[in-house]
Amino acid sequence: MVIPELMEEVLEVSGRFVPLVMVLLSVTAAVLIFPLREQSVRLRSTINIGLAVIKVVLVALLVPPVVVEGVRPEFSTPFLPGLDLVLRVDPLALFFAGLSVLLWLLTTIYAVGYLEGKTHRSRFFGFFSLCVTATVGLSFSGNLITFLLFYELLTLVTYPLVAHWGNPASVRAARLYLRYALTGGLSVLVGVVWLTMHAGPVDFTEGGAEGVVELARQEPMQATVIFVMLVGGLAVKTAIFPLHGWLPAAMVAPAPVSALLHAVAVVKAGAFGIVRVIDDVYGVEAADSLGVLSPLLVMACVTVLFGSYVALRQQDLKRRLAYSTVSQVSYIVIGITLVDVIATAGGLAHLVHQGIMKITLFFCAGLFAEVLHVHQVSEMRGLGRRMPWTSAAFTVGAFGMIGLPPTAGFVSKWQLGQGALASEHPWVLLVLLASTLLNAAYFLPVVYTMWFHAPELDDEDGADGADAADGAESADAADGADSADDEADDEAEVAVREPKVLLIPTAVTAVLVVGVGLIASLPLSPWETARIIAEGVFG
Amino acid sequence: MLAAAFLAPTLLVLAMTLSGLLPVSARRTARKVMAAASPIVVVPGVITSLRAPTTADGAAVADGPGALSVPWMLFGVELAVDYPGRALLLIAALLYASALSAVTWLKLRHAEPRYTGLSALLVVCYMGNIGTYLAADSVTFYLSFALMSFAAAGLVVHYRSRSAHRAARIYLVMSVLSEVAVLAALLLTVAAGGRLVDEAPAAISASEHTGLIVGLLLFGFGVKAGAVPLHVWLPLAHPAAPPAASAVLSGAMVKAGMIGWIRFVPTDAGDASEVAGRVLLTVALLGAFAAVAVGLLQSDPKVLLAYSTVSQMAFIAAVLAAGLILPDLHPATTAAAIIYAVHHGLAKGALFLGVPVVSHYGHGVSGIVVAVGMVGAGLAVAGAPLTSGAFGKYVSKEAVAGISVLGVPLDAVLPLVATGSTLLLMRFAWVMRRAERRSRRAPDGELISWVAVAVAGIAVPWIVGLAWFPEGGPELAVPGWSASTVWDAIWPILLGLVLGSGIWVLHARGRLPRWVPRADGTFIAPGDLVVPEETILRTTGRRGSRGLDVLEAHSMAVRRTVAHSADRVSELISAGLLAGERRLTRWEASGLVVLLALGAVVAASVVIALSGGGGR
Repeated sequence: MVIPELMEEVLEVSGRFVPLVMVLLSVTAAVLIFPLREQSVRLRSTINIGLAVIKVVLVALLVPPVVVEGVRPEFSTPFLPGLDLVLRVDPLALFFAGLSVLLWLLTTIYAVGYLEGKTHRSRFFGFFSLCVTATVGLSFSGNLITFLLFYELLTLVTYPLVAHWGNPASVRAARLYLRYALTGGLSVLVGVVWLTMHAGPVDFTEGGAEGVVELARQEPMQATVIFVMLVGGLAVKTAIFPLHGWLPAAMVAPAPVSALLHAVAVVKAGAFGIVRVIDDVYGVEAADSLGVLSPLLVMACVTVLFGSYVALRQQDLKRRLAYSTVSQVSYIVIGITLVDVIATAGGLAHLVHQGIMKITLFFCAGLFAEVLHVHQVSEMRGLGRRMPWTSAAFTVGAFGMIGLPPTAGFVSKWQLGQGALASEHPWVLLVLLASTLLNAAYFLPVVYTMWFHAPELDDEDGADGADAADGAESADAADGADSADDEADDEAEVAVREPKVLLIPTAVTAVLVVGVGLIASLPLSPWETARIIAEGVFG
Repeated sequence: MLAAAFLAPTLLVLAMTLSGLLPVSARRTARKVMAAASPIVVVPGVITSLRAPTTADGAAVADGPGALSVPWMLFGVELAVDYPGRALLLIAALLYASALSAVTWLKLRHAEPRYTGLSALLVVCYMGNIGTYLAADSVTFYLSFALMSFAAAGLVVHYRSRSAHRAARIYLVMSVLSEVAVLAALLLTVAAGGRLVDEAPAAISASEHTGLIVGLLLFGFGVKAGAVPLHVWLPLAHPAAPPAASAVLSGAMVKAGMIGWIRFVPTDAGDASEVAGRVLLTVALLGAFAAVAVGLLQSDPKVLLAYSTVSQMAFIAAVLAAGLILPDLHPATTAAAIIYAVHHGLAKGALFLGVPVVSHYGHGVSGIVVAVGMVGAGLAVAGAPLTSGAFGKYVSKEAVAGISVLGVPLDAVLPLVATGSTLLLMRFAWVMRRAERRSRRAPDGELISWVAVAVAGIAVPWIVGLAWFPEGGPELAVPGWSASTVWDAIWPILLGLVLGSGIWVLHARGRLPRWVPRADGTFIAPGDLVVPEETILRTTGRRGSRGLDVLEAHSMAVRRTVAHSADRVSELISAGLLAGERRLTRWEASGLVVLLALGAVVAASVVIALSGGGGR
């Protein structure tokens, strides 16, 4: 193995610049893209995808030295008097960065296809790159100040993405998002400043930052209030009930943006922040002794059930998916707050697993909307025959969400269940099971409708290519039920073309959903990595 | 070979899926060829079952060809072929191969619609099904169980008719409930240290939640095994599926529930085991006879067979329950259940596969063969001497000696199940005799597969029960030729024949009293309990959702009011600020005022953001 050795040497010489390079690569993309003319599609795509590939490769190369050998490349520079900006690569950082750079690459490809022929693409991809800058910066942040900086940056650069279409609904959603996110950010800001005043600069440390642990011991009241400000602020992005209002509204954004918002960028930034605050700022033990984790656990459980329940009542596919995110992201918080090593690992694994599952589902929703203008669940009849590949990917994603083996969703749900039973809160198992039932209740009918109901073929939504819908077939679909006659042979006639640029990223994530579950026990799989990180947290 | 037993079907399904990448005509050809080749995927399974060694007491031999460990997969996949696994694997492989050839080895104009998809689903079900038999760790068991359950929904809804959709919906609801119960039980089991199936019963009985786990297991697997009152999906789903799929549903898949009970429910958990045994015995006896009563009132031959399956599975459940009540009996009852399952799988498979065979080949010379085969399979289900059924029933009866229900010995009650079966099968024969005959076909996969299962039904149960039976296993009684043994096998059938003929004679002469319900499936519709349940659910569902709509309307109104007043407040504040600013420019304001104003704006926006929220 030459490459890992080479990587180690590179790390020794220039180790401290690695995280900086990662962040700068994304900024470069933004700087190059903004001034590009609208028509230079090829150049823009090349820059975008090229840099994204480089980032994926870099993260992949960093994994062996950081996770296995324990190297911690670090870059720091003075920011304010007494406060440094610190970028550090630790396993958790790499875990989150890995998720974001990989899904970013796929989403970029998807977005290139999705926005083909639409306006303001330079602006879109510019902010898109800034958004990844913020996410990568977030993941590599080595202390609270750096984290805060990128966290606020993320809020600002996602605003134009949500508002991209520029219609009143988008602008309203984007402003709502901004109000929520800025308020949350304000709360985090106050928390960080207050904490820094008392405990000095807060460096992320496994088991809790020294000063903070000390503060928690001596001034538990103050430490608790600060914790509430920090986590309360982060909970806005994490969409924990009752701070979730912006998320379902924001689904008016273009499909790739929704996909990112729900899978990597915004909600995950919140969840990642909560993980950092609990595990690396306060430390699980200190946080537990403050008694702040159980209330948070209860809130997460309420969110899981509430989100699933509301999702069940949605008829709009993207809204249903959005409420499903509200529910699923709180699994991560449940894992972290159960104070158990397996549960923590399960929660962390879900950070990645939920990402690949939800991005698959949003990619599919985007495809359905683009190709056949399908937005409502009731319009999904027979999609399995009209768009077989997309439907297959959607099915895989939905099964993952329900937590059926061997998908990634099963791996995290199973381990969360094991963790719950080993923790002091075995009742959480009931929440997980109830949520499984609810998930099945709102995903299975969709999957069933897609595959087992005859497609409704009217001329309007068949415009994109299914013009072969002959009268007999339509009549058959119209009277609905008893259509046992031979349909196998007209399969080809109702199928429509699924654009490859959109389909390939979708297929990749769908394969990942199953693949990541199947190889769960292979070294460096998301689950195994999450376990290593969790073991670090618990010493 | 064990790995190949799973790899072969996986690869076939993958290839069939990926063939979607080919151009339309090539795809069609490729799928047809693969579907026609699909019965081959069971070959590694058959070889495994024939060759895998087991120890003297029927356990799998570690490190042999009958054990496989894949540590990187999921949480470490463990497979092992022990005596029960080996026996059931063989039956499953035979049944699925027959079903696949019955579906695919046909002239195109005779084939089912979408038969290539149907064969792919059958292959997925096969993988899941044999996985439940061979899994040696709890997670793999759950994986297989789920894979099978969900793929089977596609079999049930295959015809896309209104009744198929209803059957599939009910099937899915029951399956999801069953899945969740099994998931909960297995999570608790693994948390108690029962990761490996071998260690699971001990872990369960040592756990703090023994009663809970056992209850969940009884429920979860009870749904699959068609235990009353969880059987409601079965009389709908089995008849809705194409006959070949019904054969595997009734022959192999219901046995997954049985193997779940055998593998996980502990016998040494004291009270918990005994209570579980009593409960299971009660519902089993109830089911064994009630299913006959309801089944007799049906007119669709496949519904009749489905009720027969409910009754027969209840018989197996009763035998297993005896082993839970008296742990001493456990080895014998388990062995009896396996042998009975092997027999029932093939006999019931032959009957289901026979339904279309009768209509296609049931006239002329071939009609004689068909009649002989069907009557033979029917006699086997009833347990006539010389048939595999007699073997299964005899072994079971011997195994449960010592248990009594309400003062009556269980081994005296069980033969009456055979009387019920006889009645059901007489009704089945009557319905089939009058069933419409379609135009004659040349022998094809449908006939071949039916013959294969019927022939296997004659021989295989004896091989599995005698030649394969582990030396160190419980003592196995083989029915001999003494007059009393033969009489024991015959009297329940004779009783059934007498009863059935009596009813028929009365019916033929028009003497059947008016109050006796007519057997046309209208007095009690297929699915029995599910009909009122559906009505209740629909009503409560409608009322419930109306109530929730009202709730939501109210909460939205509250939110709107809050958002509106927050807007008003912010308008007032900004109006005030503007006025203030005008004054400030006049008065050369101090920095303090500006700061205060800023603070107010921030506070206002906090209020707005938090309350204004999702209102719009």
